[in-house]
Amino acid sequence: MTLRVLVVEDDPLLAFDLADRLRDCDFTVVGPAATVAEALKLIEEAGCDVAVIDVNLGHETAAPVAARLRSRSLPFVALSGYSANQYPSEFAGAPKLTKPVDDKSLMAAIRQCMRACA
Amino acid sequence: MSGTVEREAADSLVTREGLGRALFDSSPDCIKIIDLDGVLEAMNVNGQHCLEIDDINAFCGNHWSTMWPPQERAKVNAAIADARTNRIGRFTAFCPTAKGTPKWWDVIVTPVVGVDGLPAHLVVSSRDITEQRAGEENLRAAYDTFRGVVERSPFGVYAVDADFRMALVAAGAQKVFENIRPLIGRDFAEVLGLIWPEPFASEVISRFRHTLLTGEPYNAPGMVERRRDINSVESYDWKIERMTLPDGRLGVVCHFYDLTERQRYEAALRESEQRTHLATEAASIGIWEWNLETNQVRWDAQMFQIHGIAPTVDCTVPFSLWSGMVDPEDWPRQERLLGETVRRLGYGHRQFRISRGDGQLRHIEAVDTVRTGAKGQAEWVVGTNIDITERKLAEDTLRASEERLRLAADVAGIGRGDINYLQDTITLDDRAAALFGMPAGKALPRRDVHARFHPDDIPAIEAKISDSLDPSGSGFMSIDHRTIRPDGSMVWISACKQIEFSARDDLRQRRAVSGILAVLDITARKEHERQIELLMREVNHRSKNLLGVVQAVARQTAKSSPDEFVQRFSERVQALAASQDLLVNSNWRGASLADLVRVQLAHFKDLVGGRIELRGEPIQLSAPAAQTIGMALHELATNAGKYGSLSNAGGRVMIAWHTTKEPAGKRFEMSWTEDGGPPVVAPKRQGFGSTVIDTMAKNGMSGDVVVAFDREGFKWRLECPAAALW
Repeated sequence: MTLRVLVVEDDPLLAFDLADRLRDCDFTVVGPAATVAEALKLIEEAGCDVAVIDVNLGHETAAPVAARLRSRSLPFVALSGYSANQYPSEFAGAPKLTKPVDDKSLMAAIRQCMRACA
Repeated sequence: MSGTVEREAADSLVTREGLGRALFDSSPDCIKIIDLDGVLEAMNVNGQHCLEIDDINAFCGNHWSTMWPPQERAKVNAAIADARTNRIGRFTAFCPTAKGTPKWWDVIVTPVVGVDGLPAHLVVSSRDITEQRAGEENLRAAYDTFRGVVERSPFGVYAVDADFRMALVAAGAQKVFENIRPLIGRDFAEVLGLIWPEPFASEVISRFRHTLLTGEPYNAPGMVERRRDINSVESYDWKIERMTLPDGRLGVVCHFYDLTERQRYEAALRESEQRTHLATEAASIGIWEWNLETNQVRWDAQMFQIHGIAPTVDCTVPFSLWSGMVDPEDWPRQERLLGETVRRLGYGHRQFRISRGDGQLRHIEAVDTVRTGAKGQAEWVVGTNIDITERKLAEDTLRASEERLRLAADVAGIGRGDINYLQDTITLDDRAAALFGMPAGKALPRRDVHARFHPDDIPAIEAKISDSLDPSGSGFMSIDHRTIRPDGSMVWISACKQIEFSARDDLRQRRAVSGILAVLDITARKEHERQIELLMREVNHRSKNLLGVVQAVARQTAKSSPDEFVQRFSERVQALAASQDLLVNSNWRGASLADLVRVQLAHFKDLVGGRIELRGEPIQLSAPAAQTIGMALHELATNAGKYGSLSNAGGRVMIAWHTTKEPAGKRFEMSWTEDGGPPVVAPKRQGFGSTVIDTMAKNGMSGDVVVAFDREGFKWRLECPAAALW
C-alpha cells in the first residue's frame, strides 16, 4: 500500500508540480489543498500518512495545519520561500525546505520526518 | 737658650742644600723645620708673617702642636707620625694666627732623610687657604641659595641644563610636570613631547635650543593648547633666557605664568564685578516726590544723575520736564498708569524708556506710591527710579539667544525635558509632552514618565540610564525607543540626555543634579524602515517562490513536450515574466486584467482590436490571480496560434469578462471564444498546457472551468468568486 501525502500549497502551478512529482515517486497524493480550511478538511475526511506544507498560503500561514498534524502525531515537511528564521513556531522540529526544491531533497526530507515519527 | 743651637742646626741644614734654602726663603707659604719629636726648630720669614709672629724665638723649642687649637692637635700629631715613618703627612685644619686672625691651612709634613737613610728632620709646609676656602664656601652657599630659591619658588620656573636635561623645577612649576617621573635629569625634548602635542612641542624645543645656543631671550605670546597627557586645555605666558647654572655651564631658565588659573580668576572676578554692579544699581536708586498741587517734582542727586542733567538749585524740576524725557512711544501708557495709581491712591510699578539730557536712551523701572493729605485726597506721589538699561540689554541678548535656540529646536522638531534628580522629576515642553502623552510644563515624577516606555524597550533604556548616571562617565546617553501614550498609541522616540553632576572635583561626592533631555519623533522613519524590511522579506519570498514556479514549469514542459522543450519553456518563462513586470510596475498592488490580457497576447498585438476583441470592465487582480490567469491566457493564445482561430488568416477570438452580483456574493466570469478558425479536433492527450488552463485555473481561482472543443471554435470559460481575484 502506498503512502498518502497531503499537499498543502496555494500556488496552483507549484501544487500541480509537487503533486505530480510525488505521484512519480509512488505516493498517493491527497489534495492539493490551497487553504488552511481545505487542508484541515482533507486531514479529517481523507486522512494522510505524511504532509508537505507550504508555510505561507496567501493571506494566512499554514500554522494551524501543522498544529493539527502534530496533535495527531503525523509527520510533515515544511516548505517556504522565506528564510529558515521566519517560520512560525508550529513548524519547530520539522524538516524545512526552501523553494525551489529538488526531488532528492524533498524525498530525503519526507523520509527524515517519517523516521522521526516512527 | 737652646734656641740658638737649634737655629744653627737648621741653618746648617738649609745651607747644606742651597736650593732648599732658596725655597725656604722665597716660599710664600709657612715653612717650618721640626725634629722627629715634633719640636719646632725653624720657620721662614714669610711664614712668620703669615702667622703674624713678632718673635719666633717664643715658639722655637716648643712642640709644634702647641701652636694649634686643642681640637686640631690630633691631626697635627698624626701627620708627624706619618712623616716619621717616611710618609707624607697631610691635613687641612683651622688655626688662628698669633694675633688671633682666623685662618685655614693646608698642611704638608715631609720627612728629610739623613745620611743613614732614616728621617732626620721633618719639613712642614703650611699654606694659607682661608680665602680659597671662603670662596668655595660662598660658591656652595650661593649654589644652595639659588637652588633653594628656585625650588621653593611658588612661580613657574624651571631650568634646562647645557645637555638639554631638566636641571631644576620650582615648586610652582611642579604641577605642570606632575605626570612626568622621573623628571630631574630627563631629556627636555622628551618631557615636552609627553606633555604637548605636535607641532607645538617641537616649536618650543627649537626656541629653547636657540636661546641656549645664542643667548637670545624669547618672550612667548600667550599660548593655549590641549595637553596630551591629561587632555585638558591650558593656557600659559612664558619667557626663556640663558643663564649660568650652578654647575658653571650655560642653561636655559624658563619663567611661565599659568593663565589657565588666571582665566578662572578673571571669570570669578567678572562674576563678582557683575554682582557688585547689581548691588550698585540697587544702591543707585533715584528717589522723587511729585507734588500734585504744584506739579513740581523734587529729585535726589541720583535722579539727576539717572536723567543726565545737572542738579537744580532747589533740587526740583517741573513735572513737564520729567514727562517730556519719557520716550513719546511709552508716554501714553505711563500717563495712564500714573493716573490710575493716583486715582486708586495706591501703588504702581512701571517700566519705560527715557531720552537723557545727553541723548542716551535708557530703560527705567519706576515704583510709585501715593501719599494722601489730611482729607484723604492724593497730595504727593513718591517713588523710585532705577536705570535698568544694562539688565535690560542682558535680558534682551539672553532672550534673543534663547529664541534662536528655540527656533532651531522648532525647525528640527525637538522636544525638551528638564530633569531634576534632586526632586526626581521631569518637566516636559509642549512637544516632548505630546510624545509622552503627558502634561507640559509640570514637574512630573520621573517614574510616571518612565511608565510610558514600551515594555520591550525598558531593559535597554534602564541599562543606558544606569550607565549615564555613573559619576565617572560623561553623563551622556542616546537611545531610540518606543513610548505608549495613555490613549494606547505608540510613538518611536530618539532621545538624547546630558546629565550635570555636582562636586565635579571629587568623584565620590559627584552626584547627578540635573539633566536635559532632547526627544525627537522618529515614528515615521521607523515605520519607513519597517516597510523596507517587510519589502525585503517579501521580495526574498517572492523571488524564491518564482524560482519554484519556473522549476515546475521546466519540469512539466520537459515531461509533456520533450521535443519542443526549449521553445515552449522559454515562451512560458516569458509569459511568467510579463505578468511579473505588470506586478512590479504597480509595486505588487496588483495588475489590471486588460493589461494582463495585452501582455500575454503580445505575440498577436497587431490583431488586438481587430481579429482579437477584448470586452470587459476594469478589474484589478492580485499577484497570485494575475499569475494563474496570465499563465492560462498564455496557453490559450499559444494553442489558438498553433491549432485554433489565430492559426489561419481570418479566425477571431473574443475575450470577455465581467462580474455579477449573486445572493452568495459577487462572481467573476471570463471567457475565451474562438470562431472562424480551422475545424476543431479535440486533442488526443492532455499536455501541460491543458492542465494550466483547466485544473490549475480551477484550483488557483477556487472556481469552475469549462473547456469545449466545439467544431466551429474552441471555447474556454472561467467562473469563480470575485473574492478570488484578490
